[in-house]
Amino acid sequence: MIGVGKIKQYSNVLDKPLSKGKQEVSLSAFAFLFSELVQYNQTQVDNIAELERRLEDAGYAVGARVLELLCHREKGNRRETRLLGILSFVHSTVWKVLFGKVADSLEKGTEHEDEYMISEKELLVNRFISIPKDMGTFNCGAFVAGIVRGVLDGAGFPAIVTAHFVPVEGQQRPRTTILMKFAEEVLRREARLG
Amino acid sequence: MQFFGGSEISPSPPTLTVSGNNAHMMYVFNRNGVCLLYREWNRPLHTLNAQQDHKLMFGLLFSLKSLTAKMDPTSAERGNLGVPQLPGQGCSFHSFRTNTYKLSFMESPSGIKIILITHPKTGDLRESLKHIYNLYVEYVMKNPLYTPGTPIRSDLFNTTLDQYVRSIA
Repeated sequence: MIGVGKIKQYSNVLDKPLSKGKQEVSLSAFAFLFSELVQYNQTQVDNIAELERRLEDAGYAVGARVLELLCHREKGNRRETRLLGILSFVHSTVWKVLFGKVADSLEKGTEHEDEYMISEKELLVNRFISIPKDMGTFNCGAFVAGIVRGVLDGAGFPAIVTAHFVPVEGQQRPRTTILMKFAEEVLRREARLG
Repeated sequence: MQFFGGSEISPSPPTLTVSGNNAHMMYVFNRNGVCLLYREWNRPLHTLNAQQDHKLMFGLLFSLKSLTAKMDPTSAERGNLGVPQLPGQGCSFHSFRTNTYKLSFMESPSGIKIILITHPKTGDLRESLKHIYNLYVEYVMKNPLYTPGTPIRSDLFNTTLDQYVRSIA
């Protein structure tokens, strides 16, 4: 081919250098793809809880890979061992790479020691989605909860992560909170590390 | 049409309410005639029940579109009256005005018809209708919990639409 450019062709895709890739992706393209993901899962399940679980599992796969990629790209192969470290990694780095901005806030739960919350005015995945009344508390943010769970699990901080709508007075659309409940062993390890 | 006997016989145009929306009603139909959305902000007179009203509106616009395309003096080809037209074929009809209201119409290439009924002094609403179509694409088509071809039940779409219509001059 004439004028194909200076791109070196690699015989094995694993030999290609890991580039930073395109920084911007079309929002509409993502919205349609995500919409199709939700619709496909809707046809496979009978109830809302199962649908949320499937979205979470899809997100888990993304989270595991995002962790590897970001550790290589951004942090020079360093590994987070402390709870606060991994939380701020998720809150800033992961959010920046996935959604283009850092998360709105990171809070520690008041009732339980093992709960932390990342909250966001409106999740990118939920931007065009309006839940009808008969679907109750279904939240497509379960996908993002799955991503966070994948990242935390891969980093050695097993947790149960869920997405919730929190109504805010004065605002039409409720805020979304990603609630992370860490396993016993994480807290014990934290306590031991001092 | 001339009304004999002065202005007290013909109904005068409605005055703009300060607080309410400037638009009276809005319909959205798909290409099969299913009414996807009917919003009403200011409609004092109801003559028919909802089903008949929608069918009447759809039928009216379908015929009007067909008629205006066939009567086009600038187009060379003339099919027979009654031959169905594809969306976008022939000249496009966009509004009609009476002394009490103005009806603005827009049809997208996919057959989605948006009809907005406002007070008679409204200017050209084509840009507004395009914007409403944009809102439709964003909040309805990108919503995985909506099945195309069924009536729209999205709160987000309704609220954004109300806000936008309130801002149309």
